[in-house]
Amino acid sequence: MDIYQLLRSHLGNALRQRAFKSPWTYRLLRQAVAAQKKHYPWQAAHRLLLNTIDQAAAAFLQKGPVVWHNVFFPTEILYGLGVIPFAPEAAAVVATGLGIARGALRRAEGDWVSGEACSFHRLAHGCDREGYFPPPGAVVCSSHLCDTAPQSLETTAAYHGVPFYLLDVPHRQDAGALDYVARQLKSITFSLAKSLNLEWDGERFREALVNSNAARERLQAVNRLRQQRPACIRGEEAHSFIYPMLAGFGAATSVEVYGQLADELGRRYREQHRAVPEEKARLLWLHLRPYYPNAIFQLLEREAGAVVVFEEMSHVYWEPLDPEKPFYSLARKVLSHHGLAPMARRVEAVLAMVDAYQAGGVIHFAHWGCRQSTAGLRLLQDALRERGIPFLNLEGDCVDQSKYAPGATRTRLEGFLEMLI
Amino acid sequence: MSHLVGWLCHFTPVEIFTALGYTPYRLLGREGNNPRAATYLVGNLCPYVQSCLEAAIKQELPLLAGVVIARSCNAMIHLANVWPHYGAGGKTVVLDVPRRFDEDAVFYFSQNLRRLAAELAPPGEQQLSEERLWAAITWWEEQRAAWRELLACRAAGEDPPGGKEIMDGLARWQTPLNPQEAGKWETVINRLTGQPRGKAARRPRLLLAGSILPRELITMVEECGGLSVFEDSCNGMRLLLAPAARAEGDPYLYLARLYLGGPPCPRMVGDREKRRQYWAAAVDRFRIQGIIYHVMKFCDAAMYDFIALKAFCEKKGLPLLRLDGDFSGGNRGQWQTRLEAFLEMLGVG
Ligand code: SF4
Ligand code: SF4
Repeated sequence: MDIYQLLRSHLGNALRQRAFKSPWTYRLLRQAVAAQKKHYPWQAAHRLLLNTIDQAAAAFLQKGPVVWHNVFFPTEILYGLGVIPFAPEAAAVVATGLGIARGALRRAEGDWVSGEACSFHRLAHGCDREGYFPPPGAVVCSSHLCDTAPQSLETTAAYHGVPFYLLDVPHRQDAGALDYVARQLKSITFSLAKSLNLEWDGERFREALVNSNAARERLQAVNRLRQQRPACIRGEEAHSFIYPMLAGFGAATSVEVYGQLADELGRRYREQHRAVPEEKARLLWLHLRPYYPNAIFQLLEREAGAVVVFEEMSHVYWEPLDPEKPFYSLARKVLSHHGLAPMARRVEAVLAMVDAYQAGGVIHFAHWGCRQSTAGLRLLQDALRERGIPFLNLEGDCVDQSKYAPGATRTRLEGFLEMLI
Repeated sequence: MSHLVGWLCHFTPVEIFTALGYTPYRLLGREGNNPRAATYLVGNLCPYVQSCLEAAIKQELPLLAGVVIARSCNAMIHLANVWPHYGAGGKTVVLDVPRRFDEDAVFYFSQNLRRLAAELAPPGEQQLSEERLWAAITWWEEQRAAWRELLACRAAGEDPPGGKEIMDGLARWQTPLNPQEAGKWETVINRLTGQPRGKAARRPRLLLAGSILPRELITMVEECGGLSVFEDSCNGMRLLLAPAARAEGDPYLYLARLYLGGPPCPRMVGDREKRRQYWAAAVDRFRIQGIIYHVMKFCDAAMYDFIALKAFCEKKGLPLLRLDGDFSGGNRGQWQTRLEAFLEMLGVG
């Protein structure tokens, strides 16, 4: 069942913006999704969808203060404070599915958000200014990896006249950097509590860190299962589970989703339920994927039997948090990201993933405008070449469908598969 | 061995280089396309950064003992990644620069600067003494103060040296090839101060803004009849920092505060209000009649900075022109017509 179809039919045209703010929308959606439970090949995906609907409902119906954040900000803080997190980059994906991307991108262009910028943020800008997104009570953003997010989110905070908190993350991982990040996290937490008039609840804050650890553990269990061959989950299916990674750490619901996924995967491995009838190649996917209808995974996995066995976004790069030292351990988490400079760190992490998941090839989806992920690829390419691992840098755009060239994409993928199989 | 140390971002405290006996040499890029750099960095990355790498690959740079790359934005971060592999020889030292200006950021930056001094020290050299560093700080402040004074005459409405001459002078000042040349900074400034001044021309007084301003833009603005009186860029006014009280006993803390607290740059996203105030002050003091924003292609900071400036100009009723550029020197055709129309609207022609 296509959730977007359902949404589109309900939201209609003229009423769209208003429909997002109606409790009926979420009630209906929830009912419709709940009724379809049996049709979901992964119950964990069904659970995730229901949770996401609930979270969206809370944000759009303003059931509490909504705090916008970028996908690299440690959301444990937001869950710990009891606010409603809202990730505009993730919401941009939904906008793509709903077919409102074109209009929203046009709006962004009209507001001078340059076409050279990352389309996740262009789209988020357009959706927000067109009234599709819930207005923020405050905005938080981490500076690590992405240059566009802080710029774009600050502009949004200024537009709505709400406070903007920047988490400035250095590239070194030494004691000084740890201290610097931890102090900022602490100050952002208490400033948020103050500006949003939140009551401090130490137990809830602790709980968020405990949840984060539990989700991490279950995600690791999922990842260990995915290292086995043959694969029991297609990359296309697995990709839908990165949402908690981007916006769900700290929430109890993410523990549930990853736990359920681990159970289901475990069962499938025991039952030798294969992802594709014949696994001809194993691939590692770097960065994100396109979210509009496209034939990439169909071609790779179903037609060619080249299974995407792991995606970089699901990589657990951090150590468990210490709930007794929340700010220091969250700072350590933030600083552990393998994408932080120097590039050698990402190269090392990718090579380790290649080994762990027994990948025979690597595809990087070069999302237009994402400089953090694409600019240093040459070094990665060199390292993979040295190991004899075929690499494809597939250029495109994750959310702007007008940039998708089906013919050229197919040709590139076929050329790559020829090398591989 | 060369005593030149390259640097790029204006958040790089060159005082430390000087104190260590090096001559700071700014990499200002080159004109033309950057085909070789684009094979190491992707095409849609800051052209200034690309052109610095291209210059290194093509061996167009003087011999350098090393380069200090401040990881101030994604483009610089990636330049720091590839430079040791494909750039010029010598040491590559990276410097993390906070994007905030508060006590924690100042302290953290001061620690980085201390490390920079240790990493950059010539082999076998003892720890840099505070006296030497303070001496270098004084020497640099003297130069910046002289520049600021020269540029302030434009606020007073005297017919100043043109923007082009000033930018050329600043470029020369940033790229001395040896200590002797660096020591002759006064000559560079005096040459400008002593230039024959024409009678106060009635040309529109303009603020030019952007990340790093290409020389040809200023030339063109003035050829078309505009007068650049304030260059809000990292090769313009931002480079000159702001006078700072010497309240610190520790030179690294002093430098951290001096640089982070200087004129705000688009990357300091946490404090955009300061940037608005900076524009407002410049507009008043330099009696600005119009603003031209040069958006460096693929510079995320500049793209959004422009949006903030646009809102500012709308509020103030100030005419604003946006020109996009790729730092290659080949933008004349695209710019000319728009520039002429803009200046005409301001009453030229
Ligand atoms: S795709 Fe890249 S540029 Fe865009 S939001 Fe994500 S990290 Fe930032
Ligand atoms: S112009 Fe922009 S992208 Fe280029 S170095 Fe400066 S801040 Fe970075």
